[in-house]
Amino acid sequence: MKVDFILNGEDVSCQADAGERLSRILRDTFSLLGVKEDCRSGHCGLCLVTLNGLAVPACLVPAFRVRGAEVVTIEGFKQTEDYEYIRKGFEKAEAEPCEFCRGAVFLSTAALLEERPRPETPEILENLSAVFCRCHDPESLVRGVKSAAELRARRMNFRANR
Amino acid sequence: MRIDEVIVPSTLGEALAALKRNPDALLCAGGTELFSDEPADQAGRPRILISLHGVPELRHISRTDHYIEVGSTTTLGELLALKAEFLPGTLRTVIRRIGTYAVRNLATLGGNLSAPGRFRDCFPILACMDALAEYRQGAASRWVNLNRLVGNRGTPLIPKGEILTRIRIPLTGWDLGIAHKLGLPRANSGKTSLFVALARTDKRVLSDIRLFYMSDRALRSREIETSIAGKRIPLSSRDMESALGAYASYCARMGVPESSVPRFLDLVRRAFAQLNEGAPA
Amino acid sequence: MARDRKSPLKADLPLSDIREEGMVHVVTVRSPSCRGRITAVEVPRLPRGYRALGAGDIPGENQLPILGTEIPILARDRVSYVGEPILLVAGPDPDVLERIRQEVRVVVLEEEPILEWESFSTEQVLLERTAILGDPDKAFETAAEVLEARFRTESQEHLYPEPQGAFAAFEYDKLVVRCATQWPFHVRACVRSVLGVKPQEVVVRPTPLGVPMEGRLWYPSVLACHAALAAVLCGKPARILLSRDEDFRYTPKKARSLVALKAGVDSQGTLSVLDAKVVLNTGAYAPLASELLEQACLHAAGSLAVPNLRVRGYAVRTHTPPLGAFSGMGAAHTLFAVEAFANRIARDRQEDPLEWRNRHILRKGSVLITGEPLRDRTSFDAIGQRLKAASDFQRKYGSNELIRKRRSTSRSEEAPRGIGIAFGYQANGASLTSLSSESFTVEATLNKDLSLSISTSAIAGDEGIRAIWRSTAAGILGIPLGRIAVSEVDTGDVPDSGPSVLSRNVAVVNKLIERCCVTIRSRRFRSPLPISARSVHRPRNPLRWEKESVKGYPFESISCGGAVVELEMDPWNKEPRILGTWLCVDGGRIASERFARSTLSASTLSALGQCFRERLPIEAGAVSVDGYREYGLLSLAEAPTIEIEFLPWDETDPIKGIGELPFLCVPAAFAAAAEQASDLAIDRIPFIGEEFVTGELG
Repeated sequence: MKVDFILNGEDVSCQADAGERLSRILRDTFSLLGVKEDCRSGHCGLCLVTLNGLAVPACLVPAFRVRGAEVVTIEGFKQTEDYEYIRKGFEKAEAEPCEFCRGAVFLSTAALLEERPRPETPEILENLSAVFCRCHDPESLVRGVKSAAELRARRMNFRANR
Repeated sequence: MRIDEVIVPSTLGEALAALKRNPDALLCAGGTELFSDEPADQAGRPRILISLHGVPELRHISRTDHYIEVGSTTTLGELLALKAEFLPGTLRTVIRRIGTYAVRNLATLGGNLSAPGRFRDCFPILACMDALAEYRQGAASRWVNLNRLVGNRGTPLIPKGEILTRIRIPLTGWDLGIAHKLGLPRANSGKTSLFVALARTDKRVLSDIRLFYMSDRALRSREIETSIAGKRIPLSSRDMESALGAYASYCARMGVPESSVPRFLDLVRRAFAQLNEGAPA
Repeated sequence: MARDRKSPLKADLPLSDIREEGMVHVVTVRSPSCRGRITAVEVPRLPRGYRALGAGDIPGENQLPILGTEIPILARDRVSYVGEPILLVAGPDPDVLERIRQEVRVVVLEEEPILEWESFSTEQVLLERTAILGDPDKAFETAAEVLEARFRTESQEHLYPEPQGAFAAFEYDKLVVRCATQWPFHVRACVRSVLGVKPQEVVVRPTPLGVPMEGRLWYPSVLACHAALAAVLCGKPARILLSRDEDFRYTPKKARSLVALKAGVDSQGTLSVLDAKVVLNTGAYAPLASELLEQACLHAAGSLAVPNLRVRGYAVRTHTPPLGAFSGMGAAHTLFAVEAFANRIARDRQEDPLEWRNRHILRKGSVLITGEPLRDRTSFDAIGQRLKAASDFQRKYGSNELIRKRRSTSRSEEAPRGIGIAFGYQANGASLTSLSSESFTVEATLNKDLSLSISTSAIAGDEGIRAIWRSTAAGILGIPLGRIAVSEVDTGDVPDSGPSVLSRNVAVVNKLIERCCVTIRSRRFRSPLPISARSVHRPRNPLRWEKESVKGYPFESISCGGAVVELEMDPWNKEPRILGTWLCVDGGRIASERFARSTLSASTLSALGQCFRERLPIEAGAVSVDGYREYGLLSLAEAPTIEIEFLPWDETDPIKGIGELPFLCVPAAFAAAAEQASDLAIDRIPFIGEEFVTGELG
């Protein structure tokens, strides 16, 4: 079937089986390798993307579900200002998720900050529980998110007061 | 996952018509269970899917003083986003244990009640609350108490050929609300069990109690619940032992394997103990 | 083997992201049986562009060289575990390959598999080690009381963020192999042996590894051989990438263990003798059996100085997938057992565990199982004091004990609490027998632009290790950190620094970098740039296991640690909820406190998960089909507060490895806490509460 959707802000189209996983489409058809394909059961979180603004595991999204939807992957997210806050926030906090889970952690953080601009530690840990990785150090991840939240809030205040 | 045809209706009417034309079609909304093993009865036959994710009538949450009504394609994430007073606490606890927040952004309440692999997640607590589900087929619709979705021997009876459209969840207050998932957190629903206990007291009298245990079968006896209701709180040892004896007989009648009975009785005993602990001195 | 040139791939590209034009994918056809003789492999007619590769297609040796074991790269006549690779199928389309794989029929004349391992037969013994210190028999005769216990550690999964695999393709006249490995030169040795070519004709460039966890020491070499075979025989770039399910079910897991302890105490409760029997189930093949078993045996007394000690260790073969190394190597098995046992002895004698330990603590000068005195200081006294203060251990332990004693008379549904403490030490640069013949080399070059290049095949795993190396070099040469680079690992360019295991990156490689830099410094103002230096390490006093003794000194240095775990236990299903974890570490000089904390914190979370969440059932010789879907790491939402303290250090103190300490200390501390909370004997990890409850109720 033909699948037309918005991918990282651009209109795209591809041919896919109706039941093809979105993670496979993104990696194979669009070469978006930042979307990892691992557990294929929605658990590990490494394939996190946003679908119509909500963070979802791409491995659980069939192709037909994507028609007309808006999908953002880590590659697309990297073009945004929010990504910069998160990247700088984590860097400032000296928090470094590994290259395998970094994209998912950042996307998950973005989703959280959109909903909770100043999240508390339990909220951060609950949110980041969507991504499983042996590299996870809870304290540094919390620091990273709070640091990103701070940078984001400052920028928004600056804009609001201008 | 092989899908030979997918139908994505944009209204409930279209969905019902599509199901009428294709009575063997699989229904889905969030789609989180689509990538599980292909159902045995579908093997080899064309697999037609009707996806309800685009039907706005099925995605809503409304509320009265007595219940909330949830469209079947409302996601679990949307339910958790409700304020505390709009979602019973025990139900919230149960939903939070399902998957991760990202999965809950896709998974729907209707899907959770309709997929055999997930039936044990929300069904026990909703059945305990006497939640109602509306099923529609063609022009017909019926409201079903969720407790009717288990057979005489406690086996699930998930309706086929009908669309689950709404779930009505009573907002009754409970003095005791327990929902214990037993087994490893990540174990799939088929290898876990859930014990739910709800109770209400009124002036030191147990006015209502519901006990539900679900493993591969559902165990709930309204008869025994009725016999316990009306007793004074804290329950006496005699009352508790009598109830446990009744449950032991019930398990035998239901054909529960002997090896599972002590565990079930222990859970009931603990529920009574917790009820007594919460009772005023 | 001249071929067209291919441009090199980006060095930090994960294996799963490697895509090359014309690349063939490779899938594995596996044994359906635990044990037996292969009588037929029936391959359907293959479409054009697809090829099946069996043992008969291997031009060189069909076995993994080094480490003295005989692991076939592809099984030819016999199979020894469910999932053992028999045939490879290569082709351009993974979906077509999957269909072909389903159609291949493997016929095995089955034989009765040997799955029992706790009671084992002589034929199952792969390796045996015995060591005696003092006179244990006499000490038992005179002991006032003899206590016994058995502890088990179940198998667990490394759960790397990417499943295992390998890629191979020609560049000019060399075959370049890419895989995530802790031992690049082992990959090279295996591939060249399988292909029957010279070492220089094979180049290995590792892909990102993630947290090492000791699970990628030798198995990546097998997959590298598979990819290499396909690349050579198909004449195209080839990639084999296991699915997560395949990886979970068939790649090496943590060895299972049974440690049977017997202790003699005098009338004051002082330990006078310890007898440890260690049985490791190492599955069908265990190339690192000697490392595992020797580490286990060397740590059999844990943090205790015992004058009379007997250790008997057995690595036992069964017809299950290979079971072997995991974080903490073999030491984790015995440290869990002996520390948990020590806690139990103290508790049964109604003594404070810290005070009981103080009478037995291992100190500098304590005699080791090798008969030599420990050369390093240990800091268990200081560690104990710090942990006591940080966690309020004594008060909590005392009050929990009072509650525990009264618990049988009350039926409170409140979640009972427990707190436990344990110590452990990490052996750095352990000089174990089968790897001790290796020499490790590092090179460094001070370039004309006054930047420094460090060249080593050691796999850093994370930026923290590279930071240690750079900081060592910077400290000696006075060069800014930003001007010190660690070369990309390419076996064609870097020297062989051996496997990255047992903290060698810190204990050995870092020292070699230090020596190189000292040499460069001494020549810096006398010789023109560039100045290169090379440093080689050969274990001076490697261990030699003889009949009932072991000679030699077991390690370069040790780092000590202790952990306290506090938890409460859900009375309904005995599911633990960790309330807090405290770690105190003496790791010598900490080069980067930030990295050290992060590593320890992540390791602690993993170690806790292994105590009660990560369950890997092996039934009838195979990992269960649903295993991966049910295997869970401890989620961040469940993460307790993890407080980490380092003992003070001097700038002259050496840098030591510390990353394994949580795996060595946390489990026994968890067990003690869980025992206090539940009154159960926690003698197995992972502890699954629901299984206990169901078992108790009968």
